[in-house]
Amino acid sequence: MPPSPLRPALALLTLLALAGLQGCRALGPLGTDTLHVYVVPTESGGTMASPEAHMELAASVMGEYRRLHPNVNIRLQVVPEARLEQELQENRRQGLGPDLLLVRAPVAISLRRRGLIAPLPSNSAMADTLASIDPGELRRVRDQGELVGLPVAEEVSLACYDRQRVPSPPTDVEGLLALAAAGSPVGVSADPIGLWWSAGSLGAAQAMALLITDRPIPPGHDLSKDQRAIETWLRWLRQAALQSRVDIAAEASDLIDGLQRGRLSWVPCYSLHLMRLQNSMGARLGVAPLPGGPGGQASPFSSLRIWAFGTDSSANQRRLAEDLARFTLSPKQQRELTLTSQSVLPVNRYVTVPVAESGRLAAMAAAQRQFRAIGKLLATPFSADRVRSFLQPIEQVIYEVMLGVTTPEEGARRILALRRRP
Amino acid sequence: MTPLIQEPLGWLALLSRPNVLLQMGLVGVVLALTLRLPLRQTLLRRLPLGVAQLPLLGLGGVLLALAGQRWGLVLLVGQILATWLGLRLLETQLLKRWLPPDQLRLLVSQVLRPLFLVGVLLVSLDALGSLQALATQPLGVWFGSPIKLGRLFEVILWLYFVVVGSALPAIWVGWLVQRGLELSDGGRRAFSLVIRYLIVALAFIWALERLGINQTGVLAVAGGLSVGLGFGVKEVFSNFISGLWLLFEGSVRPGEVLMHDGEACEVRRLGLRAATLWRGSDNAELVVPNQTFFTQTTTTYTRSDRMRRCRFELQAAANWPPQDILDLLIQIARAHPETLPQPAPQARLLEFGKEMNRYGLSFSIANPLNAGRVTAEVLLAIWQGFASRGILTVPSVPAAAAEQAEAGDHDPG
Repeated sequence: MPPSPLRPALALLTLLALAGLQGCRALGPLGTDTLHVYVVPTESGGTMASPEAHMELAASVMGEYRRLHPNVNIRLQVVPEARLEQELQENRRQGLGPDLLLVRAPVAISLRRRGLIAPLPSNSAMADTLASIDPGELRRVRDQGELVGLPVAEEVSLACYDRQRVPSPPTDVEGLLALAAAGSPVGVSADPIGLWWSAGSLGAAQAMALLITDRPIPPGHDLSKDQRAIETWLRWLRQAALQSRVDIAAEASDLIDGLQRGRLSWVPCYSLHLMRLQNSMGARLGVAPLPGGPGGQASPFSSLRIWAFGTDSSANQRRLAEDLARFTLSPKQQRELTLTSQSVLPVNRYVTVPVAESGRLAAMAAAQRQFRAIGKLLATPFSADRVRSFLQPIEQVIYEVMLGVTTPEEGARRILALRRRP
Repeated sequence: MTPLIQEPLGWLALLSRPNVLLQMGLVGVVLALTLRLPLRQTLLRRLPLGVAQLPLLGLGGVLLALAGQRWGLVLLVGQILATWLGLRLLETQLLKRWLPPDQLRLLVSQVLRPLFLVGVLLVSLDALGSLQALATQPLGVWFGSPIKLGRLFEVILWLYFVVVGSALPAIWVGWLVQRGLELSDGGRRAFSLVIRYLIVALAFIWALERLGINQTGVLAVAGGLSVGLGFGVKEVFSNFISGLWLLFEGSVRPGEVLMHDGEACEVRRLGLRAATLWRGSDNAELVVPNQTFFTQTTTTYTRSDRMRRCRFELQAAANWPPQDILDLLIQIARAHPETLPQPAPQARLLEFGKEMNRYGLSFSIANPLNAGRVTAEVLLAIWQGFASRGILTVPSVPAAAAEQAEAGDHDPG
C-alpha cells in the first residue's frame, strides 16, 4: 500500500499541536518549560567586568529558584551590549527572542524605546514586589510613564588598592596625587565613565548631570558656574596626567590587570571586578570608597541590573519569567545574593547591607550612599543611546586636555556645547 | 540534566510560542502542498525543490508581515531553499561542464552537499540562539586539555573537509607533476596519494594543536601505538607500507591482469591497504591485502605488454604423418580470429607412441582474460578438423599452464 501523501503533513501538524499543548500546560509535577535568559555584560571600556562575572552573578541570582523548580530549565546566554540590539531585532523577526534579560537600566530604556522589550507587567503580584523596592531605584527604570524592568541588583564603582603598598587609602584627590608623588603607582581611566567618580570630587557632577540626563538648561541657570566647575575637573585631570606615577589607561581592564600584576597600587574598580581580584590578590586586596575632593564627595558610578521582559514569550513562559524575577527580589534571596557574591548590593529596601560582616560590603554601601547623594542630580532616567552620543566627544576632549593639546577652559566650553539649549 | 540535553529541550520550548507555531505551520503547509499532495503529481512534478515553494513562502511571509506577525523563520526557510536551488544550479549548469562525471560526483557528494548541510545546521542553531551556548559546552579534559564542543566541532569539520577536499587538488597537482617530470600513470597516482596523505597528516597535527592537546599525552599514545604496531596492527601497517611501495613501483596497477589463486584477475583498484581484483569466472571482486603482492611472486600478463601465450598438448594417431598434423594444427590456430599472427602459432611433435603421438600447440592472443575461451574454441576447431579428415585423436590432458588458463579464464562477453 503506497504511503498516504497526507501523512507527513499530519505528522508535522501533530508535532506542532503537541508543542503548542506543551506551552499551554500548567507547570506541574510532569510539566516542564524552558526560560531563555540573556545575560548582558557591560560593553567594552568604562567599567566592564568579564562575561564570566556576569554569568556567575546570573547563576547565583537564579540558583535557588532552579532548586525549588527543577522542572523549569533556565538557558543562560551571554550577549554583549554591543551586539544586543541586532540580536534582539533578528530574534524578534523570528519570534525567538529571550523571555528575560539581565541588563543595565539605561540599556533597557533604549531597548524599550525601540519596542524590543516588553514593559513591566502590571498585576497585583508585581505591584507587591515593586512596593519592596527603593523608590529611587524604580525612578531609574521608569521611562515615558512606564517601568521598563524590575531592578534586581546594584553594582558600584570603588577604589581597589594593594594593602601591602598602600597602608591607608587616600580619602581625597589631593591625597591620591600625593600617593603617586610618594612613589606608589596609581591608575586612572581615560574614558568618561571610568572618570565619572572624579567629577563629584572636583565639583563638576552637577554640570555633567545636565548633560547625561539631557534635561534642558533651566532658565536663569548660571552657565559660568558650570564652566568653572568643568574647568576645575579638567585641570585636575591634566595635573594628574603630568604625574609620572599616574598611569592613564584606555580600558578599565588594563587597570585591573595592572593591580593584579603589582604594576599599580591603587585603581578605580567596579564591584563586579572584586571576585576576580580577590581570587588573584587574596588578602592583599583592599577596597575603599573613591576619594572625595574640594568639590565634595566622589560621584561613583552605579549600574542598576534589572530584569527586562522579552516580547515573544508564550503565556506560560511569561508567567514563569515573572515568577523568577519576583523570586529574586525576595528579602532572603536579596540578602543571600549580596552575601555570596560580595560584589552587588540589594535593591529590596527591607534588606540591610550587613556592613559589620564585611569591609568590602561596607565600602560598597558607602559608595551607594555617595551615588544616591549625587543620584538626585540624575533623577531623570537616561538611556544608553544618550550616553553613547556624548561619550566619544567628551573622551576626545579629555584626551586632548590630558595631552595638553587643549586648555581646560577650551575643553570645558566644548563639553558644555554638547548640552541641550533651552 | 546535562547542558547538552537541556539545549535541545530549550528549542522545543521555543516551539510552544504561538508566533513560532504560526510560522512553522505556514512552512509545513507549503511543503506539504508542494511535495506530497496531488498538486505535486500534476503541476510541479518536474520542478526542482524550491522553485514552487519559494514564491509560496514569500507570499506567506508577506501576509504574516502585513498581519503584524513574526515572519523571520519563514524567511530563513526560504533562504535555505534558495541556497539549495543555487547549489543545484551550480552543480547542473556550471560544474557539470567543467569537471568529469566522477570528479563532479566526488565534489558534490563529499564537499558541496555536506557543506550545505553544515551551513543549514549552523544557521538553524544560530537562529535558535544556542550556537554560542552549545559551542561553549565542556566535553571534559582530554590529555590534560579542557575540550569544548564548539572547538571540537570546528576541528572535526576542518579535518573532514581537508580529508575529502584534498583529493581533487592532489589529483590536479599529480597531473601537473606528471606533465613536468613525465611520470608514469602509476607514479602520478602515487604522487597524488602521497600529497594527499601529507596534507591530511599536517591537518591532524594542526587539529591537535587547535584542540590544545597536551603533546606529552600524544607522545604517550604514540608510544602505545608503536607497541600496538609491533603486535596487533602489524598487518595493517605492513599493508599500508606495501601499498605505498606498490604505488611507487607500479608493479601492480589498475587494469593489469594477474594470476591470483590460479585464476586470471583484473586489478580494479589499488588502495593503501588492499587491492580490489575482479575475477571473471564468477564475476566476483576480491579484496587482497597489498602485502600479498609485496611478499609473494605475482604472475602478470600485462607488465610489459598485454599479450598472452596459450599452450596445450594433444595426441593424434601415430599412423598419420606428423608433418600433416603439425601443418593442420598451425592452420587451425591461425584461422581463429583472436590469435595473433606474431608471435606466430607454433606446433611441435613432442613424443612418439605405439598408437598415438603427442603434439603441442601454442599461440598468442591480445587479451589475456580471453585465454580460456579462445583455447576452448581452438580445441573444438581441431576436433572438427581431425574428424573431417578421419584422424582419430584423443586430446591429452592439457599441460599445467594451459589447464590453469582454462580453469581461470573466462568469456566476459
